[in-house]
Amino acid sequence: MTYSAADGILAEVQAGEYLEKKGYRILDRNIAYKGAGELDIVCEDKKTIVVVEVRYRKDGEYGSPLESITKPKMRRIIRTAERYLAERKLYDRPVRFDVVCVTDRGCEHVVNAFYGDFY
Amino acid sequence: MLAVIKSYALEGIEGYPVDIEVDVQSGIPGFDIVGLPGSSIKEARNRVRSAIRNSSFDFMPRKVTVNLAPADTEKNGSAFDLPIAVGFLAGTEQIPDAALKDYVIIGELSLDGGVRRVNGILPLLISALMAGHKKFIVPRDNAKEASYILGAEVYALQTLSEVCSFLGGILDSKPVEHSEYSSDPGVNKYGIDLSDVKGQNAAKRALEIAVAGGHNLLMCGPPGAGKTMLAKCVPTIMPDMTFEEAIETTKIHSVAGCTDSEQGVITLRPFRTPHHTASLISMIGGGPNSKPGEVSLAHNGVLFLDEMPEYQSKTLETLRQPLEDGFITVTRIHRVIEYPAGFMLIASMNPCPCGYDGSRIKECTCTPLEKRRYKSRISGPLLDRIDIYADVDGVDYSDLKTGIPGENSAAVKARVEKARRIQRERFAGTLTHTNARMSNAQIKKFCTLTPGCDRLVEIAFDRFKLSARGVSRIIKTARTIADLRGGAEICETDIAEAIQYRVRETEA
Repeated sequence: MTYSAADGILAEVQAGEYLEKKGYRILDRNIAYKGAGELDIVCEDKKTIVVVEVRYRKDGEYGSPLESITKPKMRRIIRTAERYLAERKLYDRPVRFDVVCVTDRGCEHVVNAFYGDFY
Repeated sequence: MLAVIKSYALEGIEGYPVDIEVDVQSGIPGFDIVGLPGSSIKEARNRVRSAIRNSSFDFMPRKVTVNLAPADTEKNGSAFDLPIAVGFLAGTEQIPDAALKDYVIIGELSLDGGVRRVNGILPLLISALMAGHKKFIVPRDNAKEASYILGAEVYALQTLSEVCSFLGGILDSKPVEHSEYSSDPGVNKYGIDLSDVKGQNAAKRALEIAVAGGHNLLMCGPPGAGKTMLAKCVPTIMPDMTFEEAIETTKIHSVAGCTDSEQGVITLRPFRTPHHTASLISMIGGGPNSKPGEVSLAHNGVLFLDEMPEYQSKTLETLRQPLEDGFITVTRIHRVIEYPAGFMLIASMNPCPCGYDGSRIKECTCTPLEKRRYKSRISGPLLDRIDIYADVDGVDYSDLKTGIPGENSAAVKARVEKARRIQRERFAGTLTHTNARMSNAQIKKFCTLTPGCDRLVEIAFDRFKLSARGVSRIIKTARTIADLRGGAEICETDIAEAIQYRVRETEA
């Protein structure tokens, strides 16, 4: 099974709606830096900056989408987040890394999916 | 926010204070431990995280830096888990930090938030108490051990949530009740009694003197004569430990992690029987954490070396320093540690490889060369440190058969206790406990020899080519013999008996 680019964009829109419904304020989408990685959604949960990685999976597929986030992927997200926070002067705010999995049945939200030193 | 928790770490059998600073900041979440943590402390963050979550606290994602001050000494062990967790909770304002500065907190965490026992509670608390700390939070399983320390207010708690509600003033916990030390004579728990050993009266007498004064003893005789059995009886005639001795011994065992949580302190004198394949490090102590070895675990008790010539000569030679000084200095790159090693050495050996040299039971079949080689495995300097040399020959069948039991252990122990009491009074206020550990100054003070005794020693010195150490050891042994007799002065028979224990038949 392969995913099209449209699938991914759709998933990010769905995830965004889901987060807004939860009361998060979306700050940015699809932050990309040359040579670094990409942040799917950056939002605000009260005072906490939440960096969200969106994953899309069709139902019934083997393995949790969480498992598809490997350590190098985490490292890339953390590195990108550092740069983003520095640019927006947000580095004195508490930060959290979440994952939202979009499936055909809806969204699954993993709070604190990983830490800054991914253990 | 910054939280500082007081804790203690072990350096040998002493504790030193460690301030655990937990700084919680915003930013990319992470959990760093600095201040030379060993690998067991680096792993603490995983235990701390799980324990906090499973105690229904929030392990919120923050930039956490834990510093273990002083930052220049390497720290090991798991006793910082609990203070780190408490520090994190205080740093994230999940518990109030007002009460924290009053307590010294020690404990390991399990993943479910339980507090596990740690090694070395007794030495840690004693050091902390001497430094002026009064209130302690320790694991429940260490409560008994901690309860013997007078003046310490010890709270023994079982889970992280208990600790937190206690610090928050919600849980009212009573300090552990102080336990009075009792030397616990009770019944003979060893399953063996001196009356089980038939005959061997000379050897029993030697054993009694050795135990009474803490002298080193070497038993020599053919196989099956009863050397090992005699040695096994030694604990049954050893005097009960005083509180000071019990604490000294427990400190070492606590550091080594071999105290049991029911009993708390070691009340029976240690009787260590390392096998002859024992490695050098296991004997004298050392290894990555500079753990105490057998010589230290035998402190205030007996180190029994069965079949002494079978031990590696290197291992045996390392015993020389502790035999003389009563302590051992374990030197490693990271630390130099001094452990007490005031043990009494009891060794047994056969007179030759076949075992029957000089025995009246059987003819020896060894060649002179074999005999010489066998004997040379134990060096002169080591033999010189042995005060009492006892020949244990085979027994006659009539001795085995007769129903007349010899003296039982209790009777011998009573005499030993009496002799030890005299010694305690003599050495009151000094670090010496037994005659065998007298310094030269103490020998001068407590062992005045009559001209007759002096003459005897002089004859022995010339005749048996004794060393200077040999003479002082003879005088110490004579002092013990006099104490057993209840005599204030050493008389000629005491000296004569001491000399004959000193001299090996083959050398005479």
